[in-house]
Amino acid sequence: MISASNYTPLRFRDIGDELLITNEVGDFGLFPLDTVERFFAGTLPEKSVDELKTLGVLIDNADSWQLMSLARRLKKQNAVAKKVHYLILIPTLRCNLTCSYCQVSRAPLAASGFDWNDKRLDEFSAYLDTIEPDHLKVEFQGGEPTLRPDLISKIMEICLTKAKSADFVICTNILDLSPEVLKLFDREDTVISTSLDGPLQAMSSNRTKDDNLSIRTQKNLEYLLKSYGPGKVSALPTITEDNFSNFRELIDTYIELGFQSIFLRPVNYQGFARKKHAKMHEEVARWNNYYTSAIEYIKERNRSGYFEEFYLASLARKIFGHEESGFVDLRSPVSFLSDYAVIDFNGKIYPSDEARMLSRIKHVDLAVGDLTDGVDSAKILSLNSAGVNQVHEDCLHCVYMPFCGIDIVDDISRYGRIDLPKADTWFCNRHMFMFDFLFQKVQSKQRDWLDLFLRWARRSTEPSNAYALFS
Amino acid sequence: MIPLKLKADFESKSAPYVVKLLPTESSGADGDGVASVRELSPGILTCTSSNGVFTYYLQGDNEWHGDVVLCIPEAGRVERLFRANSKNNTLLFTERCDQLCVMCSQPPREIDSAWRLPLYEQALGLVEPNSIIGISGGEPTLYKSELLEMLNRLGDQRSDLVFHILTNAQHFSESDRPLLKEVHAKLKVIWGVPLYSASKVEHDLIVGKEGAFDPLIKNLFLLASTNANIELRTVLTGLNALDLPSLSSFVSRHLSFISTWAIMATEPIGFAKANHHRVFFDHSIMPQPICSAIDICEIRGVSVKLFNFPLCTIPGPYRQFCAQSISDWKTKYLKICDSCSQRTSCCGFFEWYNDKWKWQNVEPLGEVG
Repeated sequence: MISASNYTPLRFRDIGDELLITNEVGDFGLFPLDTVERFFAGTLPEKSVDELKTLGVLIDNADSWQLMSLARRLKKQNAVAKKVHYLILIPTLRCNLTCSYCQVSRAPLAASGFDWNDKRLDEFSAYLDTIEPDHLKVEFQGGEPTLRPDLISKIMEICLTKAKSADFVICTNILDLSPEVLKLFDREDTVISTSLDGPLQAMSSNRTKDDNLSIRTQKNLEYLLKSYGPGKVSALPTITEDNFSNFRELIDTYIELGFQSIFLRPVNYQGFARKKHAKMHEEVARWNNYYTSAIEYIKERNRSGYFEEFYLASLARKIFGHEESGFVDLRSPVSFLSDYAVIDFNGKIYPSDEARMLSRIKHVDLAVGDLTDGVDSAKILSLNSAGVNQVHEDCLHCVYMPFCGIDIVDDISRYGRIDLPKADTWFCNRHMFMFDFLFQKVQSKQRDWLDLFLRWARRSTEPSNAYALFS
Repeated sequence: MIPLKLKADFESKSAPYVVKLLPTESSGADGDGVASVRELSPGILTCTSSNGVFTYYLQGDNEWHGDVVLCIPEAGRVERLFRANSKNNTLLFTERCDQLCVMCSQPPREIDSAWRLPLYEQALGLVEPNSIIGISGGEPTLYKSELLEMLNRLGDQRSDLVFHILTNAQHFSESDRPLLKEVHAKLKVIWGVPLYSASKVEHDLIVGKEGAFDPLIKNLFLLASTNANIELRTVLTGLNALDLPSLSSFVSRHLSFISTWAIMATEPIGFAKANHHRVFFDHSIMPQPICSAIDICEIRGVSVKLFNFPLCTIPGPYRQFCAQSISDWKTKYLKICDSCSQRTSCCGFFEWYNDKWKWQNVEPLGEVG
């Protein structure tokens, strides 16, 4: 007997010749293709009914522990931080490079009025008083923040005074390593994040436009890695269509430098990138092909050591390892400004770095306040109410809903609206592809892939006999 | 083996009572509940307290200073409830039980020993500061209100104590929630709760009680909601060994609020011995289910431990999970252990391990490289 009280929404999708079904929190099972039809026809064999009960899709009665378990895990997964603990700061918008995809509408090196001034520093200090932070993680973005080591220093001091503890990330192109900058890098509470688009030629064409400058950044990266080790320095590529054929060189570059992780990140369709790489949004399929080739190559390279593609590994950790990714572009509810905020050179506050870039090009104003007047709660609420895939009509019945996020900023940047059917968006297509990729390997029991997912889930080269996580 | 029940001659056959043994010359020897002890000749003690005088015969070189003992004049017996120099003091709260586990090491008996409970509480008031107290059975929660109320009172006076209570968790209900919360706010209590399989049919079969599984899981949630510290316990037998990976997946999925999951080798005595053909499992030649269960816990972030598994019977990378879990009074090492370099960090064997209960791969280990 079917009644509304004893089953949760059915989420299913054909994977190979089986039907993938997930429950509210992302437990999954593979069933015969006709399972849903037979369920509603009342002809489902008892074995399948029992399996659906074990999965927590069918619930025996409202008093059962399965319901408690679902409720507990749902609460844990959707727990919203009560305090902002991650800040991205843009102490200056000026930059000494003009990268082809620059996403932040940079300001010229000699321009004035693009740096934090003393008033801004005081306002920032007062803003931290309103947050009363416990631990604070602060990421310095730009522009090129190392143009102003003095400002970075002052901001660090304010953070350490106002928060119980703090640590810092300096995102830099490492073009110029002045003694003042190196002094900042020496700090134990500070790590370095830089851009690395591959070998020399990719660096020159994407970023420096000058081989001499590329060589300089390469030398600087080698110097930093040698001085501090790979635990202190991370690198991030930006991948444009022009680089699609060079994935081997890109990955080899990372491995040779001793990195264990690469985030294959498509160029963001924002800022200057929007004008120069406009074709991208129609090219999900091309991206997905590129991504598949790159991932297959990464699998090969794992024969001789640990190396992960950060995004796919994060998904594997989330789906199989039940680890919360904390990755802000892939979560739901998005809960903007609950734990994370971006503060621009001019004191404006944004819910994400992408929202800042989008606003910079005057595409839409996604600022949700500024340091002078505080945050605009009504605007945050209206953004947040569109950022819940659990109740979004397009996502509610998606088999991957429990693992996925919702990215209204990306939708606005590509389509100028948030109400396009999700199935027609870049975000949805890219993620459907990744989830399908993972579950096809599970369904076809491809041992080499499953072993790789387990390694990534455990962050170890040790083999794990944990295949029960796939069933 | 360390004897826990010893012979004594009592001057008068009074009702049972509890005393702490302190040497006559020590300060506090004239306090309440204390017996002042003189050593007449080696191994023979005269113990004087307000309850009377008795002569106590030690066996071997038993340490007795600070022990808290239960005197039963009628039976001419002294039970060493709390040995001051041991970390393994366990109260047998009752011998009654509502389950009949196929590998039970302490088969239940239908004996009414409720008279002991007030004496236990007195004894707990006398133990050394910061002691860890085990409570087992039988099933202690057959006397649930006595147990919880005792803990609540002790929480006021002896919040330094830590309790480790073994229970099948069948008997808790929603109405216990306030008291459990109050107890957990005052005292550290670790609830050791057994779960043998993710399949309710298998679990019920092993515990010999139909319908045990669902209330058990439900009460684990109830306990967790009262800030309980839960040590989930799974005894490995021939009946459930192969299901261990799926149990690991179940635990990490539904019960990730537990503090620790203890996977335990069977104690080969009681029903385990009688049911050898169903219970015996030689993990030393088939460790895969254990390794797989641990791998899953590692990936899902569940703390897991191996109890009662000698180091040499577990593959190298998994030995870090082994704990020295066997109570001191029933631990032994084999002859072959003499040349093992890891002996001091190994749990050893149960006193009752023998040729009829024998794992194939037992061997001395070299230095850890």
